[in-house]
Amino acid sequence: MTERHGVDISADSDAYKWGFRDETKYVYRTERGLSQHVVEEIADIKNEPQWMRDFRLSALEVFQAKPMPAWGPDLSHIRLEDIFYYARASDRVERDWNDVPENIRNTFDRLGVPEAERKFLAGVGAQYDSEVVYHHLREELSKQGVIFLDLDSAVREYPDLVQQYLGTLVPSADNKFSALNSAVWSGGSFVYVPEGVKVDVPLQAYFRINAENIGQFERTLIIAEPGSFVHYIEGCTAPNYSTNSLHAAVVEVIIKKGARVRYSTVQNWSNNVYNLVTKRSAVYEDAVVEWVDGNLGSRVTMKYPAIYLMEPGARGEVLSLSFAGRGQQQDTGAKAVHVAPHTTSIINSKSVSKDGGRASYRGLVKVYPGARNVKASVRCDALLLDADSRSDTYPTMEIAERDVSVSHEASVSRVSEEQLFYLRSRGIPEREATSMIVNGFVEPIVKELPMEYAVELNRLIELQLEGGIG
Amino acid sequence: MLEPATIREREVIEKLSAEHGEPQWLLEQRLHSWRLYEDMALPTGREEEWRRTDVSFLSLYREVSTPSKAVGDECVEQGGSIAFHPERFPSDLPADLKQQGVVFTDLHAAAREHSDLLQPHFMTEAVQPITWKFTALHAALWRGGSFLYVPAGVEVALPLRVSLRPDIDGCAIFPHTLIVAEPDSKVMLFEEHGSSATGRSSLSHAVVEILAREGSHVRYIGLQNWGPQVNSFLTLRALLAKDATLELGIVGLGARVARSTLSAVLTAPGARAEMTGLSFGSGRQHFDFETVQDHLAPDTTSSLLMKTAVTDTADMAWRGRTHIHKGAGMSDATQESRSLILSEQAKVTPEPILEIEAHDVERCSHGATVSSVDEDELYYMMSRGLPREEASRAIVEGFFQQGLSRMLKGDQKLADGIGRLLTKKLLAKVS
Repeated sequence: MTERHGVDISADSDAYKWGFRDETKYVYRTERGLSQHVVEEIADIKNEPQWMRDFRLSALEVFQAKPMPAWGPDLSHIRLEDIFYYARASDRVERDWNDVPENIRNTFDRLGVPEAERKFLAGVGAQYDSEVVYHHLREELSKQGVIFLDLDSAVREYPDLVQQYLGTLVPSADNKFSALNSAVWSGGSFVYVPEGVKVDVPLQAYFRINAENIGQFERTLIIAEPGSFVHYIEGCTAPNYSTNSLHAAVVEVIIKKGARVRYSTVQNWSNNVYNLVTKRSAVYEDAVVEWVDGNLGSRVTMKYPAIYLMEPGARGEVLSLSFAGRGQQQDTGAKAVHVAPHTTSIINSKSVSKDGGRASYRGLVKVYPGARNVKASVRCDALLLDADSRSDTYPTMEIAERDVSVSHEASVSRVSEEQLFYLRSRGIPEREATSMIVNGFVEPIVKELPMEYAVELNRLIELQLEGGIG
Repeated sequence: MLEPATIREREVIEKLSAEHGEPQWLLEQRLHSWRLYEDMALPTGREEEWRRTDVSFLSLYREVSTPSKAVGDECVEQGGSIAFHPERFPSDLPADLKQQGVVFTDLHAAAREHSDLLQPHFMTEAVQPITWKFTALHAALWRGGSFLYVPAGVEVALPLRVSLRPDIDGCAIFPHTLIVAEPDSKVMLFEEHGSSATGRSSLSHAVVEILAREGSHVRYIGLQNWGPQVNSFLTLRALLAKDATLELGIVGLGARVARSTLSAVLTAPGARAEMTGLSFGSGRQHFDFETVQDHLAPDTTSSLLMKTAVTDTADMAWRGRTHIHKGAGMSDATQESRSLILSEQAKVTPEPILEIEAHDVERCSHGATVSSVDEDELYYMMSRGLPREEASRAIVEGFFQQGLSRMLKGDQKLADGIGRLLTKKLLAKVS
């Protein structure tokens, strides 16, 4: 694999086809940097109840007190003082794309969001910088009591539900960036599925960063009542800028007895975005969570979706796929915490590194004393495409119970000369051969996505292989 | 600029050095290391490699040479400085080996008699004083230990053995081992550290340096069987030259807290390291193993097998790092960890880490499993008439036996000896 495909990214920056930007007039934007004043301003703009204002202010204190993480990727290039922590381009959340300001609507048109909604989604939320600009849920679902709103609206319309659950899985003090999110959060989704309701077509949220130096801090809360089902999909893109943007989201998913939630992410931020996300799910009796986490974009991603298995019979699965191209570091993985007996977790991670990219698996399997008859398995596979790239595996297991079966396996391989030779001998050019091998490698995870997203993900991988996004 | 060592430390160190008739360079190295020690901070526990063992208790040793402050003071005050009494060093090295230039002696004698041989290697290559605060302290205060030098082309057929059973009660000791295997030589050393159960908390910080030159073959087996009041630290690092082979075996049975760092550095093509760690924890024991398989060159091979079992409230941490550096392609590295949990409250935390910077690795993989004694196996053995506890002991014995035979290929006598110690501990614990 000495041959390099595609052209130098610096001469070909629009190969990342979502890198366009709008010259948007912002309705409102806070000053650069973070202060108590900025946090209070955000609470003012949103006209929030006192409890939410207090939640923000106490989180700000935690954020300021906590040091940057001492492990993992280098975050020293994030200039926290240069970031705009809140910017809104539209005044309202619309329920009809025609009411969304034209330039913003055009953006989402180019991203294909309204088209996807017409074709195969039950509901869509679209966030542009700090605020959600569009939200819609099919009528038959709202009649069944399903709630799908931006979280800001939910704070106003369902304050009791939000207050009951928000911050229970990811407390502000969990880590520096969950504290930051708690202080300045804006937008994100609120999903509530009543008992026994099965939402059989996916809901989608689309997150778009447009402004330069912006921080996007959406916060998502999903509550699945007993016996319900929902599949939530999120996608994200941003323009290419020479300066860095920050995306620090918090996601909390509560899955009650016998319910099932699938949460799929196709992360495709431009490579100036620091993507530092805390995602966590609590899974109760006989309930199931499935995280499908695809990370292709961003400069640095730190994301380890967590499964807390709270009651017997709970099951969780994480399928993680990362692609690290030029200048990218994907520090991704998963956590499975077995609090209760008779619980199962499966973590499957695949990563591809190319053109000097670095993909790291970082994970935890923890079994508490008394959590008997636990089964946990972790499988990590990494593929390195050239001599400049790097792959790491940092798994941890903390097992404090004897009646368990815990296993971890990892392997790192390269695209072998034999494989390439075989394919070339069949008349397939090297470039296509490599792409076939990579596609075969990631297939077990890609196939877990709905067809449309699987196609999209394959196309993104194709572009990565051409050196386009790098 | 580092301040010169204070008068008092200078006195203690000078006395220790003079007592052993040390050459000037060694005294200077001690004094320099003492200043390093004073300059360095203790790990806080936030560092990746120190997350599993709280070493804040080591701050007790901060003023090791100031009377009435720290454990170990009495030793200093008794004029013995830091206590260390190796049980008679084997003086019966066969004459033919001596003739061939093999040196196997206590380290103080080596410093007097083979200063030129020692100086280039002693804490300069494999383990440097600056590694962490307590290797600096070790370099300042070490006392006792072994020096093994095997000239080029010499094969030492007999396994060599050192048994250290110092009276460690309430003291801090710093034993040191240096092995230099010149090109195409072959040698095996078995070292045992042990003490009887005593009342007071003690500290051992051992350093083992192994220099395996081109084409040499070194087997090192370490048995840690300290009494229950000892806090045991071990820093072992082996440098492997072209086509050198290291077979490393570490057995951890004793101590209250046992923290061991075992590193094999493969510096040139053809180097091969086979590492085996066996450990059984009971009572309130805390074991923390850090293993490093460091591939700096292409065509290098390393494999690690960790077999650990815990009972009572013991806990066993293992952090295994395989690092394939840039350019170290066609390397083959494997890590395997098997843990058995035998009680309700015991705990294990295996952490197998791969860091791969070369794309053309031959193979790089790891596997880790944690389980209890297999019920089916137990059932089978009980159906053959074995009582449950015996059956379960037999399974654990079998579990370790596998590691022992990998570690001690062919040396049945030693395997039996270590096996007996394991069984003794199992008999006391597994029922």
